[in-house]
Amino acid sequence: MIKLKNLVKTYKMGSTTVKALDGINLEVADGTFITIMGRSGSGKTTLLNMIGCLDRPDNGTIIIDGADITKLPRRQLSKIRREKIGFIFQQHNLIDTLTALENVMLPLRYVRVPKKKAKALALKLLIQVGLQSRINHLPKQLSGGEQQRVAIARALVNKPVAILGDEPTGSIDTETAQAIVALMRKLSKKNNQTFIVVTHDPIIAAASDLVVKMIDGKLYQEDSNINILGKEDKLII
Amino acid sequence: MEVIRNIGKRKFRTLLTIFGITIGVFSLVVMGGMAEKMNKLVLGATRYLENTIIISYQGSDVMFGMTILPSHLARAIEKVPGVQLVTKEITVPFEEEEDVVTFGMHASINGISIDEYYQGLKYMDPELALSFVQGTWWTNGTRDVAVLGSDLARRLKLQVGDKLKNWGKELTVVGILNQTMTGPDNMMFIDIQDAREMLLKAQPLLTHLVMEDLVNSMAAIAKPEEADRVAKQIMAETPEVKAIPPGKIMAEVKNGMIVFNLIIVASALIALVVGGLSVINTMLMSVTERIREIGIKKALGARDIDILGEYILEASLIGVIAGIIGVGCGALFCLMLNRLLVTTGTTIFLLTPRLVIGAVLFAFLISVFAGLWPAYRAVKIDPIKALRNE
Repeated sequence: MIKLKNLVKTYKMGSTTVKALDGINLEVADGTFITIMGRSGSGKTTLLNMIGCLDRPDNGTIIIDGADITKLPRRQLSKIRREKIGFIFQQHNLIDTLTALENVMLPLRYVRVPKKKAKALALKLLIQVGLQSRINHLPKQLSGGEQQRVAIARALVNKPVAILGDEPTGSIDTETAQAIVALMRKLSKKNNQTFIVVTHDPIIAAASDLVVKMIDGKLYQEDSNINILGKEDKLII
Repeated sequence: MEVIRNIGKRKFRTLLTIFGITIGVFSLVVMGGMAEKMNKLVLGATRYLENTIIISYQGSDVMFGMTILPSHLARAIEKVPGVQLVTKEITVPFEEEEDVVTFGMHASINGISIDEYYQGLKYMDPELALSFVQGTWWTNGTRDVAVLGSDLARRLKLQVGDKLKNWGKELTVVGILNQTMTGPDNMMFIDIQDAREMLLKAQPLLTHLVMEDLVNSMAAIAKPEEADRVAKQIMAETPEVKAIPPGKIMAEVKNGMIVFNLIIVASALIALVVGGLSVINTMLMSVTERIREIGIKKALGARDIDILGEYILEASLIGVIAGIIGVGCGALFCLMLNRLLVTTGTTIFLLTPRLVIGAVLFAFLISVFAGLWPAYRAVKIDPIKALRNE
């Protein structure tokens, strides 16, 4: 379960103060696939960074898996990222000097899983995403779709509570994007893992349990079949 | 593997950095090899002289020229309490031609009394006793024979049984010494009477003196801890001589060596530090180029120590590779030059395990040190900014 309570984040841009997050409230149950849509600069990535323990809110609370992470020191946030969060980025997602297998093994290195066990776990996931024949290839030898599959495998390998995707289909063609979304959806259901995906892609939105819109740092409900806090005028407050 | 792939990513840049460190290590090995050889010579002399009080005539300068002493003085000195033995030698330059330029010690002819040599062994560290590759010492009373130091024998291509002519005398080689890497390697030992005759050939002016009783090198052997006192007492009881205790001689030699070592090692260190700076430059560029990668790793939960370790490992690998190449090239250079100079009986370089290991270790440490700042910068990168970097 992920709970966001009244999240506020402001940035200074020269003499102007920009409110990137303006009182965000959201509760996402385990195994939910949620899409956050919105224009560039609406605050989507800022929100994702907060949930991913990469940034801190000015106000409000973030609860991941029952623990309030808002006031945790930097080292503890890094631990949460290692153990409870998986990331899928838009592009240049993989470490280019590591093979597909080594890229997937990387998060396990940080949680000190023995190499042999890590290799077995990574291999299993690469088979699940259909890349068993490409495990020893470097990222530059893989297509965009294959690279994103490796990124998905890497995001899942340490069995995180939440997988955060920032435009995961942004740099691939429609057909590949559909396959990637279907894969994420399947894994979300199979492993009961929460996917929070920031995107402009309607293919992802169409496959989601919930689509929310972000406008000027506020979250609006677009469609729902899960519990969302405060539904007044479809503005999630 | 990842580290190797990372440093191989920018091959030319990495090679240049490795080359920079290699030059530094090469200089350290070559200069250090020279210093090690000199140190070995001095150490050998220090150990040999630790119980030796050098006797010279009042007014002479034993450090910078020959002295002439009547050997009957030895009998007076032997009576001084604490003196265990007085040794007498006649030293003649080996080269008949003047102005032979050499690095290290000139070859010399050392005329000794074989009886005295055996007596001296009782007071000498057994490790310092000379040993033979071929043959042995002559027996008392045998004349016209020679024992050669290893470098001298190699230079002259002489074996036991061969003959050589020097200062008008024909000598038969009866022994060749093992290499000591110190003074005796360039010495020819002969009977003191033969040396006396050769000295007269070498320095004809001496024929005006009554040579039967003269020697040009004399030393009193005493316990090291008593040497200072004994030297003072020798001078008090035989006012015509000057007795220099081992401590004073060694202090002068060691002072000279400290300056020599400092100049040599400092010049090599400067080269290495310049190499270290190129490691800093390479690693800083590597951090700048891999900002997004660092961001991804941090997002995946990499600890500070993981990032720090990765960059330091890269820097240290550069150092170790350069260290090994530098030591290899330096050792090859030293061995080749030593081989080339065999014919002159000179060994300039001495490669010791501490020099070889020390040079690689130093290259490693300087690279680790050089990698610290770039690695620290990598640790301090904000993952959010790094992930925005395309």
